[in-house]
Amino acid sequence: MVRLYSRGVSPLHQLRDEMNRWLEGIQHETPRFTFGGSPSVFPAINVWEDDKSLLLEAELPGMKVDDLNITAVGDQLTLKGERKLDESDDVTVHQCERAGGSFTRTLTLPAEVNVDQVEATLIDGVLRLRLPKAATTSPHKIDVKTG
Amino acid sequence: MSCCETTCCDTSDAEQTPAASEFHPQVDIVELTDEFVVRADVPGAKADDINLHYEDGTLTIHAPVAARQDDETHYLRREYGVGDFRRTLSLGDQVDAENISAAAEDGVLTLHLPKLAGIKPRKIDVNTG
Repeated sequence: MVRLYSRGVSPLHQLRDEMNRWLEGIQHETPRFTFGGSPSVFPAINVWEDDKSLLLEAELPGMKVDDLNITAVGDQLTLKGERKLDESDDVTVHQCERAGGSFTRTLTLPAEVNVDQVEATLIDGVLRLRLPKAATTSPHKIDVKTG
Repeated sequence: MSCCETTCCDTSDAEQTPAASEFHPQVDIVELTDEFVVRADVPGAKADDINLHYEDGTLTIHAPVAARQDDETHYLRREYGVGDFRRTLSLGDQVDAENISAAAEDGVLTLHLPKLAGIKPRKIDVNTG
């Protein structure tokens, strides 16, 4: 990429700006979210499998389907969303443990999935995904021929 | 949902046979002019199953959550456990226990605890002589 230095901007400033962009990129990518007072990955997930599918579950209390954006590409799954909390200014806060805001979490699935057939439900704040494994990763019985 | 007030003595079965693992729900407590509002994250709990008990300024939340997978499930990744939510909160003696209301939606329990009439702030008019 070719960048033109504008007048009065030194290479040092350019470097600083470059660093800032890089740091912003890291902050954007890192799935960190303050939850329960301490920084942790949000949302926490459980993953298990059956013969045909990977199953993933995440606890997202208070979230609506419209607040969530789930994308799957190959073996990469991204959960994106915003948790909105009821907040008003005219209150005295006695305890504040629930956290809100935007989050992004990308994970590498242990198998390629058929992205067209992913099923998702969100019931009582629990998200559940059924991700059918791509045909190539489903177990195949291999017949051994004699002779 | 059952909202159990001071006069009611609900000792649920879960009280006597605690679940294998229980969790503390995360809560927010805010105070408005005329009420306290408590919100608790209880993902997976059904509104009808939640037990609430308020007595002597102490609110107890018990939200049973049934296991969603078999015990034998082999997890590829396990970052949280599933079980009942239980928590006891101290709210002082300003609450009008008879008029506590509660609702649960999308895994969030919201309680409105009105203040006793004598504690609510009142506007005092100043009469001219």
